[in-house]
Amino acid sequence: MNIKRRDFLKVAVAGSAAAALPAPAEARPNLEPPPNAVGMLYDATLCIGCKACMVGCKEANGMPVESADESPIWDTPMDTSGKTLNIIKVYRDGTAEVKDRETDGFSFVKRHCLHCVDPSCISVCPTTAMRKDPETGIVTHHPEACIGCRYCVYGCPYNVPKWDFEDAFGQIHKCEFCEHRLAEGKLPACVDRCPTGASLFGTRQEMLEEAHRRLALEPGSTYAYPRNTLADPDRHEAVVPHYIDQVYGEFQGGGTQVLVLAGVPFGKLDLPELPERSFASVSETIQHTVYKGMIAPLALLGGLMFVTRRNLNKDKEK
Amino acid sequence: MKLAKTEPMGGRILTRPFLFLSLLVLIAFGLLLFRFIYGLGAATNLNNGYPWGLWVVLDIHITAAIGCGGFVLAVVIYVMNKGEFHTLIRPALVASAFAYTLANLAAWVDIGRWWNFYQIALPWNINLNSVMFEVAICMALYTLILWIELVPPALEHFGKQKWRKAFFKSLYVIIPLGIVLPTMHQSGLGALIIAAGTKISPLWQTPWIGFLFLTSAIIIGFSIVLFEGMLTVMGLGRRLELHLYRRLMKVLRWILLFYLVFRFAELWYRGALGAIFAETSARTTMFLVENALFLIPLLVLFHPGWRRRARGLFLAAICLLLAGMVLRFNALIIGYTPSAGYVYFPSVIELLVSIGLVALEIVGFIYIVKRFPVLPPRTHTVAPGASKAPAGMTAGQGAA
Repeated sequence: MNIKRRDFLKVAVAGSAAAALPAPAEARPNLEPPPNAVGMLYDATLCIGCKACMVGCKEANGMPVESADESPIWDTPMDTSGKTLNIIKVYRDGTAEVKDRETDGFSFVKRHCLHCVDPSCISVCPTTAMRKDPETGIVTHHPEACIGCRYCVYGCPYNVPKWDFEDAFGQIHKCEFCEHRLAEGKLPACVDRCPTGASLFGTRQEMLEEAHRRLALEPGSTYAYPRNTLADPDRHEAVVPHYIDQVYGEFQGGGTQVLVLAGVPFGKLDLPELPERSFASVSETIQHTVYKGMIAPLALLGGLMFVTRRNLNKDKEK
Repeated sequence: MKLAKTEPMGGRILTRPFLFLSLLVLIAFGLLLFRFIYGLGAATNLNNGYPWGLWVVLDIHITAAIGCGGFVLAVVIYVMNKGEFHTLIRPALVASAFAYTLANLAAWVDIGRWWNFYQIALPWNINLNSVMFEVAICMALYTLILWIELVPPALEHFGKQKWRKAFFKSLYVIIPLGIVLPTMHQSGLGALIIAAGTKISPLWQTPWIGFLFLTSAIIIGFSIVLFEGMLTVMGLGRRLELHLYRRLMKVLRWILLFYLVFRFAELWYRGALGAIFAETSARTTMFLVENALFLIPLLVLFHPGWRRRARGLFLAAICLLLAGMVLRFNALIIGYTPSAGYVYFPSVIELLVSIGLVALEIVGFIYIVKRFPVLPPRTHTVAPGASKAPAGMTAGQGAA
């Protein structure tokens, strides 16, 4: 009896290592952005809510009009979806008198894929149907490999990937940074259509620098805001608003390639406060600690085979 | 190799309860046809706020956990070398095999691109970072192992004694695989939520959630052996092997004590205990319900009077099954915060399909125990008082 118990304990010790113990021996750090990662800066204080970007997005990606009405006249989606990759939403408080103010004010926010530096959707996808371009860092979806488990929908901290529930043979839809347009040397459609420069295109590094430049400006002073890209000479003068002193996406969740500036707290704009360590790195650290080289599971298997075989043979002798 | 004597129960298959359950199965399959033709959006109330619903939690997570009877008994019998529990293993394996088969089937029904399911097995698609990849592969393999473990009764049924003997030589590989694989994927099923980060309430979002799911799956494994055993006694008129169940529950209560101490120590260590009382919401209420369902059986199983009574054990088992279910609903759905504006409650079709899949498991179980040598014969029993019967006493015959 005691011998058997000792055997059992031996196996239990080997096995406990395999049993989901998150002892982070070597934590997998956050991924770094590729050196030439593309970027976008969305400055909510410049956004006038004209939704030209939504129209441009639908055209560029061949997406249909979406509305709750039976016979829609306008495209009026409520959220990003299987038919809408980009949406302008509005935050409203009280009398909603003043733009970019938290109390009795309002603010627009443009929602689409933020193209995480270390994306959860890529980490969770069981079939590698979500991929990140090693050059541009753009997160793309590949339906031919997708089984439709919707783990990316479940896992994305920004609720970006959307399953098309209306299509019986549907797929996941998300913004892919107009990769096809970039390949032709064009801008992403939303940036291209933006009349105020609220959406700006460049490298992530350039966008970060521009964002910090704006945060350093004196509120009330004027600044020549660029349109489309930093290099574009077509700039317009505007009064510098009171920015929330933070570039959303610089560190949140391990950082994103789409960065956001706003005059109201990001939490009000559906952009959650996230820890700097990416959830992908947390999950993968645990997974790879437990399954490192498959040593723990194989040790458990070996121990169990030893004990089982002995117990089977002992019984035979009786 | 000690083997408990088993024989087919015999008797009529098409009884009235069997036909009723079959009707539920037929309804479910009809509705599944609807799901395949018109899609998930038409058949379910799933949406982009709640992409996972009843089918994922009940028909995959909970069904797989309920299929842990075979896993737990394999540890008790072959690792801890308690051969006297061998009378329980065949029915437990049949139930487990059905449960796991249905969990796999449910996974296939639930994925939106079901025609594309094989993509997960293509080498160039493998993502070793994905918890779901590990879970899917381990669950599929373990389901195969469970059916392999059921080859002996089939060979006995068809009278292939020589093959049966040859098969027993492979047991020392098959049985350990049948322990390692569930250890891996039962923890993986919990670890699925880790990547969702702060979308999951701190009451469930912990690096240890996989360990909690595994431990609770083991608790469910013990409970389902007792629950199914008692149902077989009541429904199919078998003799109650109370002494065996008492001993199982004696082991279980220590695992249960460990689970609860660990659960709350971990919450305390992480500073999440306050979240229980920070608000009164469906979430905190469900947390209390979940842990009350773990706590009540603990009290029952340590109570000197209750733990000896069949009724006490049955109550404890039912509470623990519910506790494991609530834990899974909580961790995956109740504790999950979607983006604003989304609500979810399962559709009638989701409910009827889930009910039909459970009915299919019962129908399959009944058919197999009536036609194949799974249950001990009616006459075979040990006096209920002899709970300390030495190993081998219950053995009807040697295998080799």
